[in-house]
Amino acid sequence: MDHPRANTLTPMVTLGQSKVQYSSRNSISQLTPYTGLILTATTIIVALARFYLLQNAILPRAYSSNTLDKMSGLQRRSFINHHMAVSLKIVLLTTAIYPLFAILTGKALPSSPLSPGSKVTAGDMLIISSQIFTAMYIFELSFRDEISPISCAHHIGTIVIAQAAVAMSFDAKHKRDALWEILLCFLWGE
Amino acid sequence: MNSRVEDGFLLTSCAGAFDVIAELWPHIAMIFYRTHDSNHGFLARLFYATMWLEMVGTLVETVVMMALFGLLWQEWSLSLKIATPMLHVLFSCAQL
Repeated sequence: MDHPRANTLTPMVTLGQSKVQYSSRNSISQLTPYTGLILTATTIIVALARFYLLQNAILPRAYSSNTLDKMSGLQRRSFINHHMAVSLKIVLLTTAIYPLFAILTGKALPSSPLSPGSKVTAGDMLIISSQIFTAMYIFELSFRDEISPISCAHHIGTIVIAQAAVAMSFDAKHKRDALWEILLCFLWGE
Repeated sequence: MNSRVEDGFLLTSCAGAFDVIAELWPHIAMIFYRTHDSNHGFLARLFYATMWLEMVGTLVETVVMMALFGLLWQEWSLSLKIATPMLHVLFSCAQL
């Protein structure tokens, strides 16, 4: 624990301790080192929801079989994707808008609790939202039969920047290098 | 109040929020395009409304992002000053 890196790499240790110590660490959220785990959980939920909820339960009940049978396989896949995208975007808008505007307008810090007495901070909510956002585009990129080169480039660029921004927010020392890295990745994706 | 480290993440989150709103309307329009494919009058109005929502959304997005760039510009490092406008132009091209 004497190693200087140990402190930055094990922020969960500070859970339950004073908020002052936490906010002095200058990062968005204590969950930042665990975004891989959050992204995995989100991707699993999205995959299961697509198959068990949307495709086999909700869509056959919401639309007549006439409407669904008329579509080709390609059209049905993009029809399912549109529903998935709309649902996830509504989830994102309802969860992320409040903490984002609270921080942007200066009413809250990323380390402020989301509601009085809550253990969840505004920053936690933004980090989780960024992972839902990434999972949404990963799903679209993998699931659709046909995707235009422009929207493919847009989705790739967006998720690379989103994840790079999360990484940059965690380790300030790599900020400068990380930016060039994103730019290169983005140009490559275009 | 916010440190510079947070600025990058918050700007990206803000752009992401606009992206989510901008992408929401075409998805809804495409769902109705499949389910109400014989009601041409309705579809024409729906896509017209989608076009207007996209246009107003892009306008608001541009105003807000430019305002944020202007407010934060002096605090940025050189790499941010070069990278951010480039990324903005690239994304504007992708939207067209």
